Amino acid sequence: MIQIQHLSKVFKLNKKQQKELKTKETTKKAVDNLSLTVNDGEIFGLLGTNGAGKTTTLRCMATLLKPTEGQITVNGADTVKDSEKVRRTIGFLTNEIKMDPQFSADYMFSFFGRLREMTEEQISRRREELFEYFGITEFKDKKIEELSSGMKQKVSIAVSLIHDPEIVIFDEPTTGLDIITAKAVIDYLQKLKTEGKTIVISTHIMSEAQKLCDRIAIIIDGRLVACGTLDMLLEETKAGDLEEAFFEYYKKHSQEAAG
Amino acid sequence: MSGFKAVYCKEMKRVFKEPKMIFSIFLLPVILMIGIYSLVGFMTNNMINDIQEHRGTVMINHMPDALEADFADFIESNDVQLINDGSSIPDDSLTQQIRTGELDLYVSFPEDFMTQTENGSSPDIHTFYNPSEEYSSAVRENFLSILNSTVYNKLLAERLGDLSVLNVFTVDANNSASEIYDEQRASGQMLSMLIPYIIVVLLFSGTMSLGVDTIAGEKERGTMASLLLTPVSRMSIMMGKLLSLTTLSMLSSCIYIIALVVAMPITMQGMIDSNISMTPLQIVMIAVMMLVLAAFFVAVISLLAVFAKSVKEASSYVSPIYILVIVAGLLTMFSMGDHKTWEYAVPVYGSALGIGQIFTNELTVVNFLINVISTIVFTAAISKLVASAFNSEKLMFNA
Repeated sequence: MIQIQHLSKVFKLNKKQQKELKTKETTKKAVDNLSLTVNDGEIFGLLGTNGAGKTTTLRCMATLLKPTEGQITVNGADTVKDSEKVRRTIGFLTNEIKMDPQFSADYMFSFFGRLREMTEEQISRRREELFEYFGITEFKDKKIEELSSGMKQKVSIAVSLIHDPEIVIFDEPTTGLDIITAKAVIDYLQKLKTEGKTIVISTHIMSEAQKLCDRIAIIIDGRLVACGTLDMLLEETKAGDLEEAFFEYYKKHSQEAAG
Repeated sequence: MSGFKAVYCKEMKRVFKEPKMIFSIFLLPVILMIGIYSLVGFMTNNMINDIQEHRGTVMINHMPDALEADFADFIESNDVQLINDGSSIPDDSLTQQIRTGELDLYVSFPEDFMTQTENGSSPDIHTFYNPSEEYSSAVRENFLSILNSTVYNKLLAERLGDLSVLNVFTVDANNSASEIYDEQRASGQMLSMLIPYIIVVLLFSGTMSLGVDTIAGEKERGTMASLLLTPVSRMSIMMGKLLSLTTLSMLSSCIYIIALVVAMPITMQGMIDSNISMTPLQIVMIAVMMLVLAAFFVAVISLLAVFAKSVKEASSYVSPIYILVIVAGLLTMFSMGDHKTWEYAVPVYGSALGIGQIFTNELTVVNFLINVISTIVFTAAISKLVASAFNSEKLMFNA
């Protein structure tokens, strides 16, 4: 179970960033007083536009960032005080985290296995499972830089799951992937759910959220605007599908912000 | 522990599995170094030989017959024209020839030279040459060396008779034991000037690009974040990187130095006395000083790299430090005399000083320890700063 309590994350902006964002503010509040709970065994989706604060929230969950305010506990362990314990429990995947280009997929897989203190036997077993499932075996000895973006993504997924984590956090899992690879990823996430894993994804693709997630949190401008099952959200906004619902929430939020 | 080991092995593998990297880090600088030294040695020798073999074009006016025999060798090894109708100052066309280098030397004796010397007066011999032309100066030197020794002494003897009355005293005429020196120290003198500077600069430059890449480069490429996601402690990751860098820096420096020691005698013939022998103790002392210096440089470069967002930015921080290191090395090249104890505690400068003194057997144990301990302390302090930087999300994720 993941519990986020009153999470706020504030970034300091330097002069260059201020210019880019066209603001005189010296800080940016990426996440504003966000609270939510992810239950065991469910697929939980963070839905929002670019810059809404989804990636920041996930990074705080994954211990890469420290909350400015608030607290996150992952299976009871605090992400700041027990960060090592949290990192053992989770697998985190995001597009910005890359593999070393000059090493092979096979080597990177073994390397991360060793970093996670797995035995060679455990690494071999996982390699067989994951490489087989994602079809990595045929290019496992090629250098990362020689692989297509779809192949790279598959390798990244395999590496992030090498230790069979209980909790899987994927930031925009299918962005940039072709339709076949995207389906393979989504199928795998559903497979993980049947194995009892807890999955948190962030996405701005409505269809993906609708198809995959048990519960969805809508995040706009760093704030939690709505949270619940698809049916709950549709009922609340009297919308026909998730996309409509999202726009309803967006409209309401903009009106509140202006008023 | 296994995390540190895995990171260390990966960093080493990164260099050694790429033939291109092995070549550019270990072999290319050696080839360049030997190549440049050989070229310089070759061209210097060429230049010296060329001047020695050159047949000068010389015109001598009113050369006294009595002196021709003394100049026989000179006349044979140069193209000499003896004239009797020239003027004491060369005319315009001859002057032009001297200016362009066509004519190397014009000499004019007074017409009554021999008569004047026999009468006790001091006639003036005029020479005209072009000091900016190498050949011209060399030819005039040769001419004067005969004139001022053989001819001068001969004419002086004719004037005075016995020349021994001119010898008021002599210095070391029959004292062959005049030079008292430690042969090892003397031949070490040259090395102690050159080698420390080279070691210091090589250790730094060998670490520079790798160090910047393994920290700033990985941040830029996004591969650093993947390391930080694992349960491995930040300290282990940092130590894995720093130690691998130190290892590579030491390795490459040793290779360069062996190449230098082998190549220099071949290419700088005679400039360095090649019967240098080093005791095992000296070798160990140099190795220890190099090792702690390499670790120090690694810590400094890592600190600069961790504050940079990209390889380019990190390189811009590292370049001025590189210049400081070169200056510190150069200072020891020209420093003479006694050195205060505190000088050995100064990082880089103290190391260069100490390494140089190992060659001349002047480094005391105390100063050696002062330098090693001081460098280790500085390295540890800087490494701590790097460790806390590794814990900062702002620095590690460019957040």
